[in-house]
Amino acid sequence: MSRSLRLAAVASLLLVAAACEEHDSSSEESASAWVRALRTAHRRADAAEQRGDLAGATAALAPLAREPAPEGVAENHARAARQDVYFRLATLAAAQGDHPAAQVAASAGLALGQGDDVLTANLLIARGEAHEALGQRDEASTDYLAALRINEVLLGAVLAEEEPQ
Amino acid sequence: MTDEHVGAREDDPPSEEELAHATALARALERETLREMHVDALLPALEARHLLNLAKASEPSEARLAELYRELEVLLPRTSEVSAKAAASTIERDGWRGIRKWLLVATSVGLAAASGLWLGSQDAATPRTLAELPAPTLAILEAQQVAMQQPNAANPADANANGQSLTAAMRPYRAEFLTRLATEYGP
Repeated sequence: MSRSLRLAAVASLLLVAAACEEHDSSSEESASAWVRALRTAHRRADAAEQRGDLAGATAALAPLAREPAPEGVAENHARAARQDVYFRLATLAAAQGDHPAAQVAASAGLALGQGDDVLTANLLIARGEAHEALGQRDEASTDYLAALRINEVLLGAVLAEEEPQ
Repeated sequence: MTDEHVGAREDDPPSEEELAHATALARALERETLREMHVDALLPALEARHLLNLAKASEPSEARLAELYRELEVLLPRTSEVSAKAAASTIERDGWRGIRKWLLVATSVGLAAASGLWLGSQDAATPRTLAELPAPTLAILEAQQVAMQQPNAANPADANANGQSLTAAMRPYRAEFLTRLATEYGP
């Protein structure tokens, strides 16, 4: 291999590596900013809830529920974080007697994906309560049963971890 | 050949004009081949010059000179043909070397770029699962069961109480989850 060939290959590799590094760096900054915004929104919502300002708590959380997470955030993290925000929005709406809004928020959270985890179970319960409040017993029953199945799976896992102790 | 030269001394020598013409022709051949930088091609011309020198020194006969001229004429086209073929071959070889070199450069650069892009896309496409979600606490699971086992349609106050219970149980879980996210994606 001639010298010019080696130089060209090394230069191109460095250029590609620099481009990838720049891309990774911007993704990390976006992810970090997103996490900071998430924590800030939850803190503001907590403070608003403590002073009885449920509308203020909702306003603090709503933007984060609507916007997708940046590219650098892992899929399971993005889903869990946004589903937790939707759960809080559904709970806040139910606390204000706005069951249709609670139902919409819970459905939106479940539309992000479902798994055998706490966040999916919470959203199923919130939507079941909204269905129940709106007189939709069959739908409520379906959601409760799905939530109960996940709850049993999680409870079994927790108890299995505690057994050896 | 030596015998012929010895015999040729008895013949009339070539005229000055003929010898000058033959010498000029040989020099012209020599210059041409030198310009083209083909040493092999010089050999016939040098041989002809050598023969002419011998002829001049030994005063060859007309027949001998005629024979030398014939040999020279036979050599002329061959010399031009060989040098042309050699030049064409050199140009062709150099051209292919250049094309091959640049093809190798372009191929290696392309492969490097493709490899880098592939690695970058693999990195971006692979979901990051470095930090797992926190394990649920018994308090959360119990609050979920309470919320599901106590229908609240009849009493909205109970619904709020159930919701508050689950909300309260979720606070430490949420705090831990956000801390993990901050650790994972923090600056």
